[in-house]
Amino acid sequence: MSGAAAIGVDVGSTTCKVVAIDGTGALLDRRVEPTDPRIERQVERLVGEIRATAGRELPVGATGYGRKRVAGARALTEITCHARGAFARAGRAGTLVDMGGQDTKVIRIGPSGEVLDFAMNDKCAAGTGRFLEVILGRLQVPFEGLAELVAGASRPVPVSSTCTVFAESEVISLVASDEPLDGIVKGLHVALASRVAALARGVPAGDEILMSGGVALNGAMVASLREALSRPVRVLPDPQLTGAVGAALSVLPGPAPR
Amino acid sequence: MTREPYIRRQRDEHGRKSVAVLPVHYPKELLTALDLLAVEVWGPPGAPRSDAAGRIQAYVCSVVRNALAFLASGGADVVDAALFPHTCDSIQQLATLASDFGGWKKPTLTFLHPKDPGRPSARRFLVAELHALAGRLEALAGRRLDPERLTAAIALHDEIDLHRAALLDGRATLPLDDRALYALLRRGEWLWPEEHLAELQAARAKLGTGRPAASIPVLVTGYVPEPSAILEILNGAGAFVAADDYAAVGRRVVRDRRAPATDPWEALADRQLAAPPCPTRVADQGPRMRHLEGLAERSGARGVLVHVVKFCEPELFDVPAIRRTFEARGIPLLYLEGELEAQLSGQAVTRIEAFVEMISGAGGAA
Repeated sequence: MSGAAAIGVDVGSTTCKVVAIDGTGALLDRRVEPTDPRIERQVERLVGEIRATAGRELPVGATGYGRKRVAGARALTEITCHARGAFARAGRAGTLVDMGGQDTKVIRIGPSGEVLDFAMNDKCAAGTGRFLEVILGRLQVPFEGLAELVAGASRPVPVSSTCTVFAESEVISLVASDEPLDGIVKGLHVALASRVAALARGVPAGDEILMSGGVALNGAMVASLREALSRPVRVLPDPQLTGAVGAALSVLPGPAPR
Repeated sequence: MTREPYIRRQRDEHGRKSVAVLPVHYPKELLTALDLLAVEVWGPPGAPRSDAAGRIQAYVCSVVRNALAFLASGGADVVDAALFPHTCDSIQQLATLASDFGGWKKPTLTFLHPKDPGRPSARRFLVAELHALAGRLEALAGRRLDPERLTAAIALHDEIDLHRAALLDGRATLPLDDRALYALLRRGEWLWPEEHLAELQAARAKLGTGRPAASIPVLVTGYVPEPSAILEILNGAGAFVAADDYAAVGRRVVRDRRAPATDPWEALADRQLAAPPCPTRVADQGPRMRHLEGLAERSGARGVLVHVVKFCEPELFDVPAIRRTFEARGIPLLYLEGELEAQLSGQAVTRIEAFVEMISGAGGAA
């Protein structure tokens, strides 16, 4: 892997992402694993693998909830790093919806890639990827084919609660009432999207809506969000890696690429 | 020294009784003049939850829930009475709940302050209420209130406020981190006033001798700086509290430097009415917004942190106006809601750090 210029680490609540980028910000290498409770050891191993491929020491930027446990790295918050990563990927200002494992962020990005404003969900897991993961697991609905399942539902079955615990009980009641499974799953996505849309209220009409985070890989969620916001939603390339790319960009020597 | 041994020592060495005082505004001068030690109860954070807290609705703030749990667990048994100012309906009702459900058997005192101090009747009402409270405190202290001692107590608290104002206004030239500064200022919640004054004087001597390690000035408005880790996080991210509008701190510092009235009751009423705008006393948002704008201007604050306790109605009513005020000025604002937790959540830490990154430009621009 020649030309690597920086490493970015995003220690999220669900997954740990490590990337290498070149001087232009292009993604050269990546590692994605479920986050290990022993963060230091996991990061050391993943960064070591990337360094070995690069064949030399590289500056490291870290973000995510475990950012302060990455030795020798420049630590910045997910807000700043997602803004950087998204700006580099989109090439312009906009509003980023990042849906991660245990939080959802809405970040307004300015014309220089700076953070203009941001909002996050409450401290519980409602409105996050974890919410979907728990409920879909309970319903035994696999991730594969999820978008098609939701698209094929004739109507969403209303799910009023977005509290993970209460929603699980509610969904069990709906199943017991013989509501169609695809409608329940669609209803879950609608409930989640409406919660995220509430976070994004006040976003200027001219702003492009960008999406990142692991949940952006769920086409059903993207479609639900598009509907809830009544505007197009552009999923960034490698959406799960946006924060890690932003962290790497933050330690890139010289002016940042666009 | 923690509070309980201190309260016992005050009793043993000085014969002073003590009064637990709920937030926010009360005439501390009366207690000082009667040789009563005021010990404030702001929650407290991490108070042991008990069945008593379950007697209160879930939508009541944690200041009240924690206080009831604290009283019920015997946390304030060392004091001789409790004073409940009419800060809000919840704290007022706590005065009865404390004995009904909290096992509080000692005297319960209340203090009502006029909610519209602009009305002509407000001063008359306030003076009458001060007299009424003084009567109940006299019974507790077992002595009559000497007008000369009241005058001296007013002068003492006026001097304390003078030093507190100097420390807050000169914050940028004080080589202390926020945690140390707030620990000092908040010791006034339970130290005997003359001891607190001595500490303030020592700290004031350091003004102009350095700077806080953090460099980005922010204005903080809210209820109480708890958990205190919020200050560490703020400083660690590179920001410091350059202007304070906490109900527990800055909002109780009287800056009126006019010569006091010769009648001590009038002087006491003047001090009560001259305190900075606070939504627990006055519902008029205009003067408060102007006050906050003044704080931001004088301190050069680059951001505003609104740090409130969940379900605190007086504070929450003003939040939209605060947002509008600073949005119009182009000053970014972070809204942070807490429940007097013992620790800050990881999300709260991220929000504070991201906010400081945003207003400082550190890593913010690509």
